[in-house]
Amino acid sequence: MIRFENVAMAYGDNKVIDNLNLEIKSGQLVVLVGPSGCGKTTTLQLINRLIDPTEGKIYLNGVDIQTIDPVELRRSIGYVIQEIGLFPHMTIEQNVEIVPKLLGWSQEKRSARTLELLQMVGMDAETYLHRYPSDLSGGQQQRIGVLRALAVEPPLILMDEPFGALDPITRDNLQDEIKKLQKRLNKTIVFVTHDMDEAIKIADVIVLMQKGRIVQAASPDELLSNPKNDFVAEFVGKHRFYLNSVELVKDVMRSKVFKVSVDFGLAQSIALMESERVSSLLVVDDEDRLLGSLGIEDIMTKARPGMSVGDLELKKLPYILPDAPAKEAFELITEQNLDILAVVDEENHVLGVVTKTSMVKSLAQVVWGGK
Amino acid sequence: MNVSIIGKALLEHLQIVFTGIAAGCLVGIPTGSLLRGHKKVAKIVFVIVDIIQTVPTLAMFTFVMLIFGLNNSTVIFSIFLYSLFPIVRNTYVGIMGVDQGAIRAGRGLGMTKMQIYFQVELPLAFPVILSGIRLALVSALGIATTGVLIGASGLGMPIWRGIQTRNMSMMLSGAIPVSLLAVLFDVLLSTLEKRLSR
Repeated sequence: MIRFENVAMAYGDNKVIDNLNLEIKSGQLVVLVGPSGCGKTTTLQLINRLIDPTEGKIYLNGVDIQTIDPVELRRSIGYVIQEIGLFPHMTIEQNVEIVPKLLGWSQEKRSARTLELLQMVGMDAETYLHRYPSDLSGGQQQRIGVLRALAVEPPLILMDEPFGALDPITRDNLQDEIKKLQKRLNKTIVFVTHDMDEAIKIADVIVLMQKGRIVQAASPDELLSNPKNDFVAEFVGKHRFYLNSVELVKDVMRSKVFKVSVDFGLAQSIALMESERVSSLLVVDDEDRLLGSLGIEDIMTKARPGMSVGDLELKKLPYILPDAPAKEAFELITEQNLDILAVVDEENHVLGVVTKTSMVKSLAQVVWGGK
Repeated sequence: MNVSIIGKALLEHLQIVFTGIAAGCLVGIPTGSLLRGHKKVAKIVFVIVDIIQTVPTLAMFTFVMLIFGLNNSTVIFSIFLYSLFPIVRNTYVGIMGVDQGAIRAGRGLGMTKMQIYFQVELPLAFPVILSGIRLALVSALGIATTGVLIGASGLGMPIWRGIQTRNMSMMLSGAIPVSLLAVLFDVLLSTLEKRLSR
């Protein structure tokens, strides 16, 4: 969708962007991130010609943007900026309808689109249309800022630290919303931030910049597990636990396991659950091999007096080998939303379990250090 | 002195003042706006309008009279000259004070320079500009009163005649309306300014 070819931008002798080559694919959310003064905002503004490069070419869908009238170009690209994105002297309605109006849409078409947009983010039109930005909270204002950028359905949207001035909770919500919107509407978004957490959370591709150059452009996972140099590793900072994840399943598993054999009575099983405050038990055969698990709800619904564990249908329990990386266990747990993951050896003998609690403990160690 | 004569004087007074101020706005607002980004030129322009502003009223009338003669036009033109200082200066300050973020947003959304000026800069600077117009208007009401000395009409006439004939009620019939007008415009425009600035 966008291609930078050997782009440079200088103010006099001061090179702000140096030999930048980058390809942004359609439908991607690309985050430009880096310390202040690294050229990320300049790079963004090169795309809608708020700034023109001193060298090199930028192509939008194969067309050199220098050949496109800047005003036309900007109207065809959504643009969201930090804080004073909205015009304080215009109502919410007027703000959202700026670009449709510039493009000469009829009154009916504009109104219909504005209503549709407000509905999309669950804001009541009656309540908000005729209010001024100062009547809205920061989060609502920035939502309107995003809607304004979406108004004429541009395939490409540029966002310049849009959530920088918001409180962490609102910010978090808006990040989720923007990610969802992007996937649902299949937009290409170029997003600038100095916040690595934000980048990792929303990006398909992270472009890490330093002193006007791209240091590494990769998916968040790739960036975290395979930083190109010390600068990247340092910038990624606290997320580096991924990098050192030589931690294995056996290091993080809990070896104290509550297990029962098939001939165990159900009443006894319930007693065990109660005394140990667990909601499920592992079921093993005589040689301690994993058969499955038994949840409290199964016992409650199907148990008859005198039945033993073997009389009930056991639930299959996902398992993992002790020498697998802990990261894989955590991914299984989060992806499949498991309460418990069994650790077994090659002969299916139960060695322990990994739970959400072990995951939290392990992460806490990385974040705060120590045991 | 009857009411219809005072009414006529009042209308003439307002006509003189508004014509002068309107001319001041027509020249002053574009001038103040164009000075943006030209600091050196702005300095020179400010010195000129400041000098104009400093000239005493009667001296100003004398100079202007050489061109327009003894009539209302001289007063109107003098008011126009005096109004330039507050209007040009406040327009410049107002336009310079517009948040750069708003301008960048306008550019980023694809507004042309003119669209940014009329839809973003001018509305956002307007409360400041209005404050300049208010200052010019209130002082113009006073200047128009002295216009009687060079044969102009307006509320200065009953005051002047009253002084010459030792007629207190005639003096007051001009002084009270002109004072009320000044207070009224000041209050009205201040209120408008406050409502506009969000």
